Amino acid sequence: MIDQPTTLDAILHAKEERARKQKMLLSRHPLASLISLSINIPSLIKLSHEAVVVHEIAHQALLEMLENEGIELLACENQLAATGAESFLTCNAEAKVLKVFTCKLENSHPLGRLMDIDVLDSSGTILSRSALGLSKRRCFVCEEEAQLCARSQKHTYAELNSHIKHLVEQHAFADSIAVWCERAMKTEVELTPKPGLVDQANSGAHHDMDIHTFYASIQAIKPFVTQWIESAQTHAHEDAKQSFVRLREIGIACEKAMFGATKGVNTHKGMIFCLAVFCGAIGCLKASDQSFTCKALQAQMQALCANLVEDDLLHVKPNSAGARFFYETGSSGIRGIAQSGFAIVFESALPFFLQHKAEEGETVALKKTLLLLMSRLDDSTLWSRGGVEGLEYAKTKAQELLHVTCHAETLDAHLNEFDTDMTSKNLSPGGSADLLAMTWLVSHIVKEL
Amino acid sequence: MSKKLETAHAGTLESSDAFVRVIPVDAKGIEIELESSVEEIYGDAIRARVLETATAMSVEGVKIIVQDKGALDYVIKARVQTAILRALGEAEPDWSVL
Repeated sequence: MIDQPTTLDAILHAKEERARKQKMLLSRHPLASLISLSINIPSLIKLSHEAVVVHEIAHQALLEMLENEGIELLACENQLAATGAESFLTCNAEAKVLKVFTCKLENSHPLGRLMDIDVLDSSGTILSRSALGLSKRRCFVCEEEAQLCARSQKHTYAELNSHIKHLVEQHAFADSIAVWCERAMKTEVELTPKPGLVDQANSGAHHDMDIHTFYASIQAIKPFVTQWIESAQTHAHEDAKQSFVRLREIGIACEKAMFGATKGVNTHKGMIFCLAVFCGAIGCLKASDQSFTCKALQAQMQALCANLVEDDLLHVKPNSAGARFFYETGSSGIRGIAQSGFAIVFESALPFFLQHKAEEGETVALKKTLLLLMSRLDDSTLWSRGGVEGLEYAKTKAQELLHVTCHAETLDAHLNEFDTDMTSKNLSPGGSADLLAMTWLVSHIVKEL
Repeated sequence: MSKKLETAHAGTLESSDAFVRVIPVDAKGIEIELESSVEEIYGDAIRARVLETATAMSVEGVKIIVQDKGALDYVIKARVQTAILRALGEAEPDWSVL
C-alpha cells in the first residue's frame, strides 16, 4: 500500500469520510474538541514513505504536547490508507487552546510544515488560523502564502516531493530507516506462498507462530532500529570492533523485546542480527557524509563484522545453534555471511532481484529471489530442523524451481507444492527469509549499485 | 430541461478542498454564492468554473453555494458535479457522461 498511487476520486471520497468520522467522534464526547491530523503530500502517492514517517513523528509529537500541557486525551485513533495517513485525538480542552498549541507545533517542529493539524470545536467547526489572529501558512518551498502557491501550482510535484524527501532525510533519518526496516520485514512475511515459512496463507513448518506473531515481533523490533542508527552515528569515529560491541548490546535488548512480544517464540533472531549490522553501517556512513553505494555499505558491514567467525565460532564451545552448525557442517552460517559484508546479498540476490523486478514486478521477483537464496545458502534453520539431508533437499528443490520458466500462476502452483513438501518434512528456510528481507531493504536504501 | 432537485452537498471545509451546497430555488438560471480564501485573485475564475460545470450538467433553478479553501480547479469541478448529482438523487456518479 505504501508508495502506491491513488486516484483523485479516492482522495476526495477520503476527505468526506474524514469529515464524517470527525462528526462521529465529536458526537461521542459532546463537550470535547478534536485534533485531526493528516500529512501534506502534494501528489497522487498520498501514502508515500515520507508521509508514513512524518505521520508517526507528528502523532507522537501531538501525544507529547498533550502530556506536557496537561490536556486530557479522551480517545485516540490513527489509520493508514492509500489516500493518506491520519490521526484523530479527542481532547478534553477548549478548541482555541488546542489550536494555539497545534499551530506552535506546525510552526516550530522541523517537519511541522508537512503536518496538517486541524482543530474542531464541539460543534464540528474547523478553527482557522486567522480567527485566532495567527498568520497564514507559508509555502514550503518559497515564502509565498501557501494557498496561493498551491492554487497557482507554482511548483511541480517533483520539486515539492524532492523537497519533502530532503526534509525527512535531514530531520528524521533514523525514523525513516526504521520504517524501511519495518516495511522490509512486513514485505517478507506477507509474501505468499513461501515454502515452509509463515505467510498470509499458513504457518508453514512452524506450529508456534503465525503472521500476527510476526507483526507483534516487527513492532517490538522497530524502536531498536533508531537506537542502532543513533549509536552508530554518535560513535562513528571509534574502532569498528567497538561499534560492533555496542550494536550487539542493543541487539540483545532487542531480542528480549522480541521474545516479550511473541511470548517466547523466536521469529526474528537472525533478522535482528542482520539489521544491527545494517543499521550500524548506515549510521556510520551517514555520520561521515558518505553516500549509500553498495560498495560503501558492504565495506562498512565487513569492517563491523571482521573476524566474527574466528571470534564467535572457532574459539568458543558450540553453545549456540550457529556454533553447533559450524562444528557439524563446517559452514560459518550467518556469521560468515556477515563477515563477507553480506556478499551473497550484494553480489547475487540484489542484482537478481532488481533484474526480475524490472521484468516481472516486485512480487514475482521476491519469490524468485527467495528460491535463489535457498538454492545457495547453507541455512542453519533448515539444518537444525532436517539435518544435512533436509538442507540438501531444500537447496536442490529450490534450484530446480528456479530453472522452470513459468508465469506467475504456475510459479505459485509450484511454490504451493514446495510449501506442502517442506511443511510435511518440518523444514523452514528462515535464514533465506532474513536475507530476502535484507535484499529488499538494501534495494530501497542504496543510491547507486 | 429541468429535473427535480433536492438540497444536497459535497466536499469538506479542509484546506485545499471546497464545500459545495446545491439548493433548488424558485427562479430561472444558476445563482452562485462564493466564499473563498483566495477570493481576491481567483474569485472570478472559480465562479466561471462553477457555472461552466453546472451548465454542462443542464441544471436550472438552483443556487450553488461554494465555500472554497484553496481547492484546485479540478477539485472544485468534481465537488460541484458530485453535489449536483446528489441533488438529482443519482447515488453513483456516472463519470462517462460528464
